[in-house]
Amino acid sequence: MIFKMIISVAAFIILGPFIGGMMTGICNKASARIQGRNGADIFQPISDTVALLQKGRNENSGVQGYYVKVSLFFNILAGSLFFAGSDMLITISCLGLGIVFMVIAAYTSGTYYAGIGAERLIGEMVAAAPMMFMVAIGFYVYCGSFDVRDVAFNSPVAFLPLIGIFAGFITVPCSKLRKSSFEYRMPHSMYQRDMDSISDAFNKRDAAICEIASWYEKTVLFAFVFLFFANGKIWMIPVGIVACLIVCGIQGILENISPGLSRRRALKISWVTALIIGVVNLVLVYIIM
Amino acid sequence: MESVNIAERSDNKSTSLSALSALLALASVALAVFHGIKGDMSVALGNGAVSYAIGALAALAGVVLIINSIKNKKYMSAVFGIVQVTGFACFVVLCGGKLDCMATLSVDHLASTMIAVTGLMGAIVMWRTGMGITVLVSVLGVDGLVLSDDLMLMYLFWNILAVSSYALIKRDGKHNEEMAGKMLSYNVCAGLGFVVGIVVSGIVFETVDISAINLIETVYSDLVAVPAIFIVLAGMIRAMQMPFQGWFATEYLTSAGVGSLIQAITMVNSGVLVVIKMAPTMGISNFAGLMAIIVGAVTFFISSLNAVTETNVRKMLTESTAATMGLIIVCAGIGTSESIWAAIMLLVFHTVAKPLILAGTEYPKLRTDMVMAVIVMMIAPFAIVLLRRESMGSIADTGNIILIIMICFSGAMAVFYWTKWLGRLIAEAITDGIEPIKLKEFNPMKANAWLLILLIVGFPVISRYMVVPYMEGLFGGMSAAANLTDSILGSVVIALAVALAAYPIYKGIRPEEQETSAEDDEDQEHDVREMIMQSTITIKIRMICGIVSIGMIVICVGFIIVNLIGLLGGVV
Repeated sequence: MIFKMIISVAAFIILGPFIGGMMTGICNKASARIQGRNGADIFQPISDTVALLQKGRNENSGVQGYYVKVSLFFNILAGSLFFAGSDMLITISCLGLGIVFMVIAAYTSGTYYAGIGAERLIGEMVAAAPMMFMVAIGFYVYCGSFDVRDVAFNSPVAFLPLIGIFAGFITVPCSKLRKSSFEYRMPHSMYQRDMDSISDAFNKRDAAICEIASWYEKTVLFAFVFLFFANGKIWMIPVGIVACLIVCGIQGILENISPGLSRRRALKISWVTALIIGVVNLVLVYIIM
Repeated sequence: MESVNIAERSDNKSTSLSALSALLALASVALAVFHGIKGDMSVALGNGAVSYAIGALAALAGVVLIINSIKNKKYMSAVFGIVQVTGFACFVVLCGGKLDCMATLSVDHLASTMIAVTGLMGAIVMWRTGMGITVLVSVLGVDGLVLSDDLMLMYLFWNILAVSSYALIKRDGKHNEEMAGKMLSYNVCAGLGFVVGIVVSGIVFETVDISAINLIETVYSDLVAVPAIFIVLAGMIRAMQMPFQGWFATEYLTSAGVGSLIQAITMVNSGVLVVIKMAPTMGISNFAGLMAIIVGAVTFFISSLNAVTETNVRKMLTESTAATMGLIIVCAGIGTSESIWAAIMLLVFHTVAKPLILAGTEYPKLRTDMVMAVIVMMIAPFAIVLLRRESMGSIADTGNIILIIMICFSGAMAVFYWTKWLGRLIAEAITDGIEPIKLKEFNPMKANAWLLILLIVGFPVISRYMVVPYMEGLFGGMSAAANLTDSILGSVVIALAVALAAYPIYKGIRPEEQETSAEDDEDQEHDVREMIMQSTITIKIRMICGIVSIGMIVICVGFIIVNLIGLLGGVV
């Protein structure tokens, strides 16, 4: 039992960034295909980041680099707790702390665009938080436990009963699955899209670490997607993986149908979505159980 | 200005004051340690003459409140006060002798925990602000409130607290006459609720012992809700729940010392403590619990919303106090052993962390201890209630959709305002430099910070040896909250976050050289706060929430009164 736990945690720590990076590549590819482009290789984000790390090998990082590393640490902690089969609520709180420290990093860099990036990051977190709570409550009500272990191995597939919450989850919190946190995902106006706030706020190495942190986060979010399909049987694993890939495709579609979406609209839409879908689904689950 | 003022005061501080605060802290801790060694104990003051004496004292305190109401031209509250004191006096004279109660002061785990925390924090505030006797009286009022196992005794301490807090606010500054009057009128209303609770309990059950009422609860859950709802309502008015936030809306005008006493150590805590003491009688199945849950959740939501839109830091902190109290009352209202555990732990964390933040707002520059306190206040509700298996489980188990929705959204908003404030604070601290903590006037805050560190590190110990035994005493058996791994995990997460965030400030690490942009900061304000402020939805949401909350109170109290009339008819 403990041996299994250690193996899965170690696997997450080693493979996490690769999975996250690859998924980013797949999302980008899907998005490109929808636009009729060929798109970059799915390993492109990984090789980009490795190159960035190598270029910035000798850079000194200031306090913002420190906070970026703290953020990375909390994301790894979140994933480790998740893959150790522990409490999913603590996983969520560690993910939240990861974002909090990323926000602090952006604020401490003291530059204008990083400040905007931080505001957006907070906005995103606020938009996503109610849905994350509802995901946890939904699993608890249907599966009877907050433990990832119990939900994954000892309970039936939660996808159909929690389908509303699943839909909310992949549209709202998984907006993080689309791109890295500091790129302008929902710009107010088109010209902002051209500005790259990462290079404005962090040096190359910190930017790379920031990217890796976001990949860990993505891996954990995909693990949540997988959790909707898990019931402890082997044959559900390919189903879960296919579901994750489909979610990638959906992210590509969502990105393409919402190019000029302002953050205010996005926040409003995501809260209304969470409110309607989440409430209806939770009521149904309470009735079923 | 204020900081200068305080420095002067601290220069003139007499040694007797230091001795007094040290004595208070020592006595409080000694009581907790003594209780830890000896176990639960109780002192019965006796009935008969003692009941009359207590009643007379409580009525006297009530009369002081009435006189002050009239002085402040709050005639409405004077009328309420007269009704309440007359009712109470009649009750004592007519039924005081017949009551089967012994005016018991009992030291249980809740009492010893709260006395230790309140005493230490009271001593720190006393040390920092140089206010002696009034602070002492307030702290003793809270001590008496948690010690008393008897509603009449509790009412005595309740009134003493009201009087001392009135004196504190009134003496605090030049704007405060009106504020003190406002606070007084709300508190007199709360006292009326309390008296109705006592009278009903005395007439229906012929007892005013809380332990006896809790015992009756195991058999007649619905019946006990009748007196409980009035007492809980009184507690909620004091804990500034939703329709009764008025008395506190101006609280941010007080100095930090008085503010922290009122909103984190004595006054508001006393309201919440009353609710926590009545918590075993509540639950999702009776009306008292239902009212507490819905009103608490609405307050949590609305206060978080207000805190998001607030630009004044002191006001934001007051709103966050109201939000935290709402969450605590939700937990107490659910009434399971896990949720009451969460309520007590959250109250303890709030009591220690909030005064540190408030003290920090008096100085222009930030220090490590304040960052620490802000992080603790940010994470504590999540680590203890919202993202903790047992308490979230009890919230989900209620099956109350309104509660769950309110909790989800207000949690999100709580994250928002704390994160944003924290980010700005740390950024300012790192770019502008920090204040040297070596100054003598920072000593009390240092002590407070060490207390906070002790609390974070000792979280599992406090949970296991001070709070869980209280749950076991109430509900019997090993409570699920005793799960030690969970306590340790929560405490580790808090400790890590605090240590990691505060480290660069403590060490004075600077950011790497950046070209700071010339654009003014105002441009950065086009954010969620503005959106929430501008949209008309916000006003609608506020209105809806207010209606829900008032409606809930009216329905619950109305139902209970109908119940009561039926009951009295049966008795006759």
